Amino acid sequence: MVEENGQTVPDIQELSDFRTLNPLSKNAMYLGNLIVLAIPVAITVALGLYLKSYTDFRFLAMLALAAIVVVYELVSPPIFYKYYRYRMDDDCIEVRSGVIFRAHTLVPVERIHQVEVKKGPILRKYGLATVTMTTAGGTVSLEYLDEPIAEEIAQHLNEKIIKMLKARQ
Amino acid sequence: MNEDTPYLRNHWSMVVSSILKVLLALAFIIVIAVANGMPAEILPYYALFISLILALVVVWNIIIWKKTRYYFLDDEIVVLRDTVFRKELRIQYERLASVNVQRDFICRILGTAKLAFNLNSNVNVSQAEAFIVLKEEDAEVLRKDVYKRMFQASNGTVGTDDGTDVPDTDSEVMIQPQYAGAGVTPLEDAEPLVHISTFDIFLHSIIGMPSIQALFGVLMAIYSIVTFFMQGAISILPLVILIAEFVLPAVGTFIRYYGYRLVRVGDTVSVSSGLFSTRSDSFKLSKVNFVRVREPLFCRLAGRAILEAEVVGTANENGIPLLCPTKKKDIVMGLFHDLLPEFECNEVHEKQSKTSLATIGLYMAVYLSILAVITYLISSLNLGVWGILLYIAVVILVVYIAVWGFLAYRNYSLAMDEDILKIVTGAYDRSVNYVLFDKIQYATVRSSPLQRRHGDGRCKVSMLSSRGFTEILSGVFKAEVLEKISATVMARIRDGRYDFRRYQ
Repeated sequence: MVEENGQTVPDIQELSDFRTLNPLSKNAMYLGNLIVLAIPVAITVALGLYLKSYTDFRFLAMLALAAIVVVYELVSPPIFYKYYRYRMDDDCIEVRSGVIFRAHTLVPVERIHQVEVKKGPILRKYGLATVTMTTAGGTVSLEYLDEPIAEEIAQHLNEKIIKMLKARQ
Repeated sequence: MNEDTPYLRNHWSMVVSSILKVLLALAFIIVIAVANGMPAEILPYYALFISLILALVVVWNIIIWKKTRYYFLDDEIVVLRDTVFRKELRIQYERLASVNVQRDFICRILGTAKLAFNLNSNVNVSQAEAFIVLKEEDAEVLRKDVYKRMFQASNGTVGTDDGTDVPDTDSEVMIQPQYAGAGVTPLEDAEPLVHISTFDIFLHSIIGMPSIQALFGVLMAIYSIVTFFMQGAISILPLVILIAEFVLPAVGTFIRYYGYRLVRVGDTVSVSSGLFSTRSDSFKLSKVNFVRVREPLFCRLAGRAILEAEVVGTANENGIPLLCPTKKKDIVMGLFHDLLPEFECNEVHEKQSKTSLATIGLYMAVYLSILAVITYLISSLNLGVWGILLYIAVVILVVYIAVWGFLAYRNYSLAMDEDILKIVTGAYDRSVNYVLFDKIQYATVRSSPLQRRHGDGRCKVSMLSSRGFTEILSGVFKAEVLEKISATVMARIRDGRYDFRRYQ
């Protein structure tokens, strides 16, 4: 364990066992979902005002759709948090995630070309970040990580990639 | 590399081609402006503005043409552009995945050809890393020269001097003949690996397309004919759909693959074809990312198959990198075994889990529900005799969906040995994908709640392809079997069976 800006950053070896997310990630998810929720709710309200009838088939269909989205967005953060796991060792990264459909992704470090740490305003508010790894076959992300852990992972991966490229040359 | 190093420059037709494109765009803007009733007093200023833009475009293109130099050195190609921003691009021959010769309409009029150099990277899939426009004969000579350097870089051997040195007609066009001696057959003298007739290409253009597209085209044609005889006039909409969805793609494919020729020299394959615009792709077999044997429904009924290989830079407008247009299946498989034996997988196929029936059933329920809603809405209209046709169409579609469900369950399968993963996908249009574990970028095993209860899942394999990146989604199998895919990729990296140098 290493102290950094008052936060505890695990050594890279400690990441070799599956880890869960920081509980604060649920708050970040809720806040992000609220913005997503605003869209169907606004459409439903606008449709109701336009039709001037709350018994119209089109309004009821939109209301049902909005209700499904609202329920999903409210229920999904704790489930996502509960099942999200990630680990990283010397040559691979594993992510287990999903709410209804669960996915297990394994990315060999050897295939990674580029590593990026993203921090939007919501994630910054909670001291979180997302690490996006680009391979020739697409991108894989480690989401809602504590910022120091994200930086640590990105740095470690970048060092590995540079070392690998140098060895190849 | 110094001032005396010989270099090449683009043919002047490239400037003409760029200016023509801008002229066309400007002409369109002028027509729009005039059509919208531009006041006469503004017109001279507008014409001056347009002329100024055109003059700038001409000057800028001439500067780019003048200041862009191509150096073909012993180990690499250097593209040097010394305009406002200096740009230097270096491409090592060993990194080249493929070299294409493309001749569009302007090139054919002016007797030139565009030579494109492609790297095995997803950044370069839609656009070549570099290209040069030369006189046709110079481009061909340069292609041969670059091909030999690629060959030398990968094998450490030296090719022949088969008369490939570029004629020294221009002081700037100088490529030194470097390959004297030993015996490698030039690509254009090599025997085609498979004889493809014009009839094969004609068949390929029709039965090679996805079956739903071909079926839709046939239905539209029947509908147009029936309405013509029943009403004495052709309905415009079905005719437009028939032309846009069936005739144009078929004609486009025929033009694209007319005169198809596939040859191999050493570990390099060259594919050339084209009726009006010709295109020639040369690539090393080690650059093949994965192989696919495609059997659309009508192809399969005719006992035929199509062989495709994913190589960066070789995708055509339809995104289909082709090794063999539709031929008898035994010929296609024979070509596959001769050309790419390292992609063969003879392991026993794993059949889909029973839980896949739930997924297939769900899809069928959705399709049938949509069909029921559409039928209900249409039948409420007063259709007269057309109502009978509607019910016939509904019966056909119900049968189509039912057979789709059966084939989707039966076709999907999986097999793997220690090098190759073989994934069979598709219902009516079956595709057999042969993937080297070393080319898999990463794999994801996904499962729905029902699949999880039975320990099943589906696997999405992500790879580099000629269209960026591609994903192959398997059927439903035991999750532990699917997890072996990632495990094998990792095991090969860890124990050294994966060696990146093999694929350079």
